[in-house]
Amino acid sequence: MKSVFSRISRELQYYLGKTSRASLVAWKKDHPSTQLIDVQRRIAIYLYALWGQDFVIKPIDEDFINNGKYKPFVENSAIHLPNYYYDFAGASHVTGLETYRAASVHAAAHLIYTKNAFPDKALDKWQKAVISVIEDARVETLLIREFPGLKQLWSMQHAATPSNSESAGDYLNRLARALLDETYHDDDPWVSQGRALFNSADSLETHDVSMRVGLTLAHEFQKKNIKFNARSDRLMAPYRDDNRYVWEFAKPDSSPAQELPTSFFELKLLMGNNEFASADEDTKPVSEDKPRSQSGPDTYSYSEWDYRSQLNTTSWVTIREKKPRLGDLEIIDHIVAQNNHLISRMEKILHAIRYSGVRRIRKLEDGDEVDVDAAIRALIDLRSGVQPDTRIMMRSLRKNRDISVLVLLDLSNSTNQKIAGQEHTVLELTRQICVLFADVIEDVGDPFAIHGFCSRSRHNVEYFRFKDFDQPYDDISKAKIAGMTGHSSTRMGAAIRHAAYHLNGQEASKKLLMLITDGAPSDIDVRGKKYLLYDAKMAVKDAERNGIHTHCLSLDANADQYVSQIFGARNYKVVDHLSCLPEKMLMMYAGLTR
Amino acid sequence: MKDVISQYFVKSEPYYRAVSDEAAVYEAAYAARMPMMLKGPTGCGKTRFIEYMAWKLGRPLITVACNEDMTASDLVGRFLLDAHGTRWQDGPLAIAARFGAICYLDEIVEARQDTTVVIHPLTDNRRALPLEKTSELVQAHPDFQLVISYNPGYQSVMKDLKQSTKQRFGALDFDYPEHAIEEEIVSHETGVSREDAGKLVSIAKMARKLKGHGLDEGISTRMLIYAGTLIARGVETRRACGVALVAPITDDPDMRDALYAAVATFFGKSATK
Repeated sequence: MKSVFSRISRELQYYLGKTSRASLVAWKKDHPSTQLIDVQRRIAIYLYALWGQDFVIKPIDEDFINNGKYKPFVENSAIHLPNYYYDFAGASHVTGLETYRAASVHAAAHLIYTKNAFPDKALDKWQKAVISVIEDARVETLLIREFPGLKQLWSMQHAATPSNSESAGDYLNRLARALLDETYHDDDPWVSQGRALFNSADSLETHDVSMRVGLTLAHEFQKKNIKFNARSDRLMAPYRDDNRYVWEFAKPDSSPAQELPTSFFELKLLMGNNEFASADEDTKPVSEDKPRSQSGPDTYSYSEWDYRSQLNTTSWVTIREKKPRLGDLEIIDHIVAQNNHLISRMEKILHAIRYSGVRRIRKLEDGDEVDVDAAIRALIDLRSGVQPDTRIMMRSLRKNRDISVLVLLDLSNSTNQKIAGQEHTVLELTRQICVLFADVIEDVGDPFAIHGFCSRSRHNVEYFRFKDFDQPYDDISKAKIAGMTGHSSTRMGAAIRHAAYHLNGQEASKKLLMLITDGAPSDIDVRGKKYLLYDAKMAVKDAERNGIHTHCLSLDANADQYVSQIFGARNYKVVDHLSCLPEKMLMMYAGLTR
Repeated sequence: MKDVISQYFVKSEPYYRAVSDEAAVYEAAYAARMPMMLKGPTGCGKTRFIEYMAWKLGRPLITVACNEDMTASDLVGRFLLDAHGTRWQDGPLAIAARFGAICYLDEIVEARQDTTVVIHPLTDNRRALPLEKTSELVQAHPDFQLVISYNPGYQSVMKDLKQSTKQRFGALDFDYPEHAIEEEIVSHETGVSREDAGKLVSIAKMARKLKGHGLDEGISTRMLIYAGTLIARGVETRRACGVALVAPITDDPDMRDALYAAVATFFGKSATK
């Protein structure tokens, strides 16, 4: 019993004395720190302001790094930053945000000025360490020439002083500080020599300077007779990256686990086909106002227009509503994070053309109130003996925004192809547009739905409802959008009819059916393009008759011909790149409100 | 009646630093009495330019700031009531046409499209302004010229000029001047040193890169002059930048932070935010 107590009291002492690991963690929790997730956007904006180009900023996966030892690094032209930085009180108080800023600018400086990596061969670790310090100083000096204020930002992160003189790392830190900050005073011959060599270098434009100065200094250091330990002699300034970008390593060990960025759009299916889907309410029965002769709970029949006979072939196509698969939510978050500026632009536009509010209708003979201007004008006319305008009343109309939007996605096999001249596939672009759109419309508050379709012959047109009007745009909807895949063909007419059927159930005064497609209608059981083209055209007309405005966003730059045939010359836009989406969307909405 | 127009003369030479050949082109256009359109972002010197040209050519300048509620009679004129009945009051456009002034319609897109149509007869070879209320046809004075300004920004996607209006004008494109020139302008207008002016311009350059990436419009030359004026009057540099450059243009906290950082990049770490 006694031994138990003594153990507890010992552990308590450890804990309170901050020597145990657990107490350190608890202490750090309370220590003021800045999280990357909170400042990522402002750092990105700052970098954009400096260079006018986007840099990819990623958090470092902490599992890979030892506690507290993580350093920023640059890899695959992405800047990796730690998840949090602590504020620290050095010569001056440095906030975590400032460290983030210093780190990101320094890393970006490498990306800009370190054009070629140094060959890794034939250099020992000490030489590499010194060369790295010089290279850091080189890119910083170049950048400071352009943006002088950065010197202060960086130099306040250095804390080395001449009193640190025990290890090789101390000298490295002093050298780093001396090269950056000319007000730093250091009498050490090695540090002074480094300063002199660096300052006398004629051109800093190429990294040969770093190699030359670095090698000389590394050699000179041997006089000090201090051993270098690569593990412990590191640069202490928290913003400096580990310089892996500077060195050309053989790359056998680049772990695939870290490879988040480029393959982001590859689908990572969370679940199988049928799991989970039954949990949400997709399976709820559809209302009674169904198209004719359905043969199953989620099966609908539609007629199709045959241009040769100029007749509707009734009950010709069968649509089956299927449950969409769920995909990885991260894909959606990634799209949103990547396109934040587009989203805010689109929101601004949508708000701007929101025609809610009061509108005055003037020049009325019988209105609700007197239009003072018109009344005075009439009086003036009376006095000057001219026939007055009797329409002196006006009426205030309260206009409300009242639009329902259904986004219909073409999910045929062709969407798996890459867009000409671009890196991503049609499906990815479709998904991006879809996500941006959903994000913006959700913010504006219009009811909207996102459906998709593909077809294998007239007996089997598959129809997916990723998000319905009455569903919230929540994680399940997003996962469904993330999980969509492209296969089979494009029987457009039937899908438009079915989408129109869903839209008809909406009570909004304006209904917009937005079709996102990459190709002309086609199907495996139809030869030639004309039949389905005319059918789609007829479907659009039918929808129009029901008060549904149909609009097409074509992702195929060469689509003009057939798209304009189906939707009409003014009702389609070609979007082959995300960045032109806001304007196109604006034109589309403006067209709707006309 | 003559003193109606005398108030519109530009009395002293406005400071204008020519960026390229715009003054010469404008003079040629004026010689032909060609209607001109000045395009460019806000605060880049369009209005200053037209003031300067009016002074240089010795013509009166009548400026109309257009707005959405403006009607055609605000431009052309209207009857007013007085004790004896009614009296016709010329609008600015009619005055300019009668007395041979340069009529400058600022931010023309803000006016409704049906309003802007009244300028049409003045801007082609008719050069006349019909006043339907008084049944008068005002033949434009030989020295009359119409100039409009137009900020081809974002909002104008919805509010755009009719093609029939656009095609009556020659257009001069304005943009923020090059670094050295803008530095000279800021320094001259405010009295701050060339070095500080250069830093201000560099901050603006950074902010202008953000246009469309969170900022609707970059920091204009006018804002720089405000900042410079505050600095010249003894306001601490970073504070002045915050007041004149950062705070007015955005409310987005992240964007503000990045802009404050941009200020710090040139003027050092900020103590006041």
